[in-house]
Amino acid sequence: MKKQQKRAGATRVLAKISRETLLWIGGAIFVLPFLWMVLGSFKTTAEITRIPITLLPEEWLINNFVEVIILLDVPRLFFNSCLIAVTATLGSLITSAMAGYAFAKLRFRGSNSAFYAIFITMIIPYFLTLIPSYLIVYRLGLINNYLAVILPGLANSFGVFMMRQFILGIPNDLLDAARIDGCSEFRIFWMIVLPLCWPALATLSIFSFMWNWQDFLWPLLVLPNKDMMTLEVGINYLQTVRSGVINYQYAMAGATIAIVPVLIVFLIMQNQIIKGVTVTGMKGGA
Amino acid sequence: MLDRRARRTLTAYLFILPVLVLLAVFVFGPVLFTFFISFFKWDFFTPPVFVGISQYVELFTQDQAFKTALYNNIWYTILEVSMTIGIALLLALGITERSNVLRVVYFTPVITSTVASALIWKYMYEPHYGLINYVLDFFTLPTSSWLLDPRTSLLSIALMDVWKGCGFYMMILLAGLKAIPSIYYDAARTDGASTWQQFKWVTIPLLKPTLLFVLIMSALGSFQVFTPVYMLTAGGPAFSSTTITFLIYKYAFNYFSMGRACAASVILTIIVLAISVFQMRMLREGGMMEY
Repeated sequence: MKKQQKRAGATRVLAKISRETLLWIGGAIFVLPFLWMVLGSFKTTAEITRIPITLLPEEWLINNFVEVIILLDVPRLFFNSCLIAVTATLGSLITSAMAGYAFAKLRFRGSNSAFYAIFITMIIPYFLTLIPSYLIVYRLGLINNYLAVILPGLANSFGVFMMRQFILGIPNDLLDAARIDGCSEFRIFWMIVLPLCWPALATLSIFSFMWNWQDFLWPLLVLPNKDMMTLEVGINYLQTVRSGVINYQYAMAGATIAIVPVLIVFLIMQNQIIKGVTVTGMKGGA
Repeated sequence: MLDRRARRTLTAYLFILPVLVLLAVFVFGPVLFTFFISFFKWDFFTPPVFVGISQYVELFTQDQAFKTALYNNIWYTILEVSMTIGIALLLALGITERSNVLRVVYFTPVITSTVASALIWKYMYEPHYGLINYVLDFFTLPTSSWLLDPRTSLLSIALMDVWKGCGFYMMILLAGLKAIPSIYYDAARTDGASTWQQFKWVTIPLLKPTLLFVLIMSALGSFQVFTPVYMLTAGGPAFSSTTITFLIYKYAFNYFSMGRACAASVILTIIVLAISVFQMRMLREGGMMEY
């Protein structure tokens, strides 16, 4: 009996060790592409195309980064991406919180239909709206204008949904007390509801920023100019930057430039981001 | 003077007005317009010409590329969803509370942009000096041209997407697992259930709502895959990795066949909505567990 127990204990330990080992091997495979990117970003053209391949760069040269920054005007593209992502995020936070408040706490005719209408936009494929949206932007003369990306980004149905869920949890007594004191709905929203929404707004802002930062197809179409494009669109051109041949050393340097800031933000705020994902089930990028 | 109720309604509408106006301009209006234009031949610059349902008919009868894309989409969705959810589930079951490092490691590709990811993977897939063939060759395993081989191009795109998506679904499944009260496991163990039996009779039934949710989300996402295709293969070689969204993009912005692109978008939407309705019905039949 005792022997059997001991054996069962040993199998359990063995199972645990093999499980942990597998998880760490898997983890190593998941990290490998990043490592390979960084190594590649330091290699020269001759080295990166050499067979057999070298694992570590022979010399750690920063030429590729310098070249990419000059070729793409990275500071400018970085500014474009920041401006678009920040403006669209801040705007969508306000519009989402306002609509979320109305759906959660105000009773009005047509609120259900309006809510379903907003809800349904979440499952409509993006491509169903693509061509007419392009036509609108084109006719308004907004091609190569930041507004072409910012305006559609100001409405975020997922944000509305999320804010409504959050504001539902705010006690009605609090709002009624303010109403009895003669507060207008706008003041209640601005002075009481919005400050209480801080945790939801923080999560939403992280995701909204990520979506806007990583958006690809729409900025590709409406901001084609070299000094108006976003960083995402810019690094896509690194594939064919010289004579149509793919220069992976530039591509890797560009990818590193694009990934590292996001990675730093992620590592600092990992807990909020991960909690946000599990609470809301949101996902960045397309 | 408005009565109180009318005023309250007015106030409420002022609150939802910004979102409604923006969605009307950039979603509802465009949706109607896309349906409308799908019955016209239109090159974006000259006036549209009414052609009835002929573009729909053409897509299904003459357009070989569309048929291939539809087939590719189905194949891609099956590949991506099964691999992503399968691996995500294994990870969620394997990762314990303490291993925060592993969680971060598996989640990092999720926050990495698709464009940057695609560049990295394209470099790794390179047939001559890419890392993947190097490693395969090292272990004397058969190599492949990956993105350049029509037989593996779609699979190669899916693998990148799996790498990028797993961590996200792992997190949601982890949350679902955490919500299962431990008393169920205690009870099962008292009855002498093995680990496999516990998994089959406790974990799977109680995780079903979460599982279906991640299945819906990943199926919808992979059915509309665009950026990875655009970046990695541009639909090639020879349409082997062309998906419907990529075809819509090509019809619209390379060939300026706006009407045909709109018709294809409508078909895509019908399929996507069908998937959602089907899976939501399954979700309802499965019943939301309460515990």
